[in-house]
Amino acid sequence: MNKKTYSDEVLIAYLDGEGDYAPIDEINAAIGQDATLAARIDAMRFDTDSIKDGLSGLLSINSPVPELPRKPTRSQGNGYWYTGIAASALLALGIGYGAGNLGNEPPQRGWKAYVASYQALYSTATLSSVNSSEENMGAELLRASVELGKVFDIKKLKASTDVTYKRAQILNFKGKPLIQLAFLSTAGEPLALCIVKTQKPDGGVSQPTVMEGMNAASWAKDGYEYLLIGGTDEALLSRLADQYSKSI
Amino acid sequence: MWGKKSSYDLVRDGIPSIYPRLWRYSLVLTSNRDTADDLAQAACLRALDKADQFQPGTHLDRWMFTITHRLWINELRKNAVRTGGGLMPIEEIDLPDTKADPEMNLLSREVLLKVMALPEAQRSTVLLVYGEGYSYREASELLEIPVGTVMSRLAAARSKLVQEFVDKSDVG
Repeated sequence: MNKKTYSDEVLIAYLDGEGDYAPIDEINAAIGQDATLAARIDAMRFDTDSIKDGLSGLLSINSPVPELPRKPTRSQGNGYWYTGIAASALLALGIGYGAGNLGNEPPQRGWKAYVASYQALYSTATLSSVNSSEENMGAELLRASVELGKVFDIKKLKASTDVTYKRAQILNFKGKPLIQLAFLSTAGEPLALCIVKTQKPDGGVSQPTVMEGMNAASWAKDGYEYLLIGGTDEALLSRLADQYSKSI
Repeated sequence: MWGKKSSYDLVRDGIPSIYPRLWRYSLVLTSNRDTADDLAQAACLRALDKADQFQPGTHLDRWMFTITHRLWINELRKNAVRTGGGLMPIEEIDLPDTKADPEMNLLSREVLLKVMALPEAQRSTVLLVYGEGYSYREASELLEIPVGTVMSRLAAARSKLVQEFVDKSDVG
């Protein structure tokens, strides 16, 4: 008698009771006459309830439902727009929403406000485990330099003893590159120097302001606009802004 | 139209009860708690944005799982990897100790660790079929892949899980 061979996939479907994808009656009949088949099926058995139980543990982790807007406002594009942490979450992940993207946002919410929302999501842990090699840091900075058309010198980023340079990220705002250089202060506070191209004339370092609960200062130089943001140490931020506005 | 909820309200009002499952799916996809938070939140906003495409009377959970999956695959995964949102060992996620039977809890946790160690495509399929209880066809529609791919992912995943627990008499 010819014994029919079943693929592993079909036998798993049989074990899962998926009758559309496995001839269950046929296999049931074959098991009694085919010890090899029976052994194969036995070897594939796994208590799927234990998977369900294990995964159910993840349901109890407290992850609060985000604030969901009740009355959406139609933007000029095709999508709704939202404010606060939800928009920050989208920016943090570098995505737009609706048919458009962040370009659909009201004009008063400029790049600095978005950077502030993004930076507000940072904690010490975000950066403490980032320990790239010198080579990787150099490669990152090279990519950032190419994106922005501005050369960054890693030595200048590492010159301060108050903060440790961690990484460079290429972000995007309204289709234009936004470079984020991330630092961690000796006190463990994350800071970021963010840079975009601008048409604005040169301008000196602004007085520190507070954005999203963090200190921030900005300046413009040679066709680029800078925002240094992070932490609650105003003296540190002013010192770094002064240093970077001259050296970078 | 009095008494009839708009699609927007149906989606908005339905999200809170689905959210823990959505977040779990996000965690299984991303293997990173922070990225899971962001992904689940982004999925909610995307769902609200596309609420007029939701068909009342159909399954909101499946629709949102597909949105979450698409967001991850098409828009977020590359960025999460690029920005260093890499894998977080599941041991670092605080799992609640809610089970009455401590031994069962230990086993479940061990199985969870092994499931989370599977490749992304396998663990997400395992979650949908064995965790969520979707049929092969439902999982294939949700993941937008052929049923055969669902089957091969499950076969590969189960083969690994069986190997991991081959000496454990309490799983079989």
